[in-house]
Amino acid sequence: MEKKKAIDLIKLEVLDCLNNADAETLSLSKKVDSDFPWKELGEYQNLAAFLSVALPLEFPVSELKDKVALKLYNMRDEIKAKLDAKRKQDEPPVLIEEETEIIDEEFIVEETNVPVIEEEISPLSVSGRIEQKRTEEISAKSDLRNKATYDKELVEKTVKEYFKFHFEPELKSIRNSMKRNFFISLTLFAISLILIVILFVMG
Amino acid sequence: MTDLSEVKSLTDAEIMLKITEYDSKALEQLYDRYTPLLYTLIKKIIPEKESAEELLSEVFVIIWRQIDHFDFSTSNVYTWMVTLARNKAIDVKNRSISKVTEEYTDDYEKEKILPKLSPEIESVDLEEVLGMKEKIEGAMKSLTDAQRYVIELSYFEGLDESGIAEKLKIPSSTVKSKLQVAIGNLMKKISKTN
Repeated sequence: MEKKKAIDLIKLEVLDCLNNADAETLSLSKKVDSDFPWKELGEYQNLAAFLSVALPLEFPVSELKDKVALKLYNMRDEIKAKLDAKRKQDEPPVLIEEETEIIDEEFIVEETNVPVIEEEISPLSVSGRIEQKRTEEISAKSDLRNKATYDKELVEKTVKEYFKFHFEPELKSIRNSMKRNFFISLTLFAISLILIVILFVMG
Repeated sequence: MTDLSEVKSLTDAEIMLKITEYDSKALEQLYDRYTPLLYTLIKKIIPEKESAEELLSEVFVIIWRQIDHFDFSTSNVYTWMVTLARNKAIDVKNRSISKVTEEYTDDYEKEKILPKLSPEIESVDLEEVLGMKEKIEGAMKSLTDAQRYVIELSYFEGLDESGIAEKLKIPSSTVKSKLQVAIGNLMKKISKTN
């Protein structure tokens, strides 16, 4: 496609005003044309986004921030799953391979059912190996549990800190105002008591 | 977790990087920076206050959830954020009038809501664009009323070519050429002043 024609279609695309036929033509050109004007596409995408700056600014209610925080809090399971997936990607798969090998060995011992001479593999060494495998399994399970706990704690910590940041100042001011009110009530009570005593003495 | 004062000094792109680690303070900073602009844009498209606020919160949820789809090679936070908010608002508007009936799934969100910016786009951030506010307003004023109107109908009202043609009672081909001339003139004006 000619560069000029592509730019003409780009102008419509950034305004989200391409008809289906033109959208297909432009999409194909992006895929096959080695000289597609990517730079111009970027310039026009920036230009379209600039349009919003010319609008007179408006502001939402301040409580909306807490609402967003709450929505994010409700997403904690989803985020935790993402963190788990990320962690799994980052982990080297060494542990899993070792475990598979051990399972294979044990499987062979059980499956072949070949009479085994006691001197070759003593029951003690087999049970020792099983015991060792159990210990390794327990340790691997405990590692996984630790990781899961760590992720859970991380998500909870993130959310807690967010909430702490938002609500702590508000709570502080409420506590202060409660203290103030308590002292005012106490003072008023003392004054009333004194007045009653004075009235009683005078009477 | 990053300290709030530390986050405040970060660039938009650095904040996005922190959000990939699900740093809530980074998202909060992004919220503080972009909320007035995004809310203004959303409210222009969806004038009802409560719906606009609900939509703005959804935009930040999308950012939190889909941050992996932000292109860090170009790091154009401003255009990504604005385009995302605009796409979401237009989608909500179109659904309210049954213009869009497709189910809203994760794939749909990736395909239709997340911006597909050019791999060669120049990076701009909010501070930079706010510094150009007067130039942009001047460039908009330099357009004819008709040119400004067709841009408004397409970008802010989400009308397509046939929708504008029907509204203005002019042929589709005229709508196309009017939009191309209008956005072309705007580009010339802004490039000239830059």
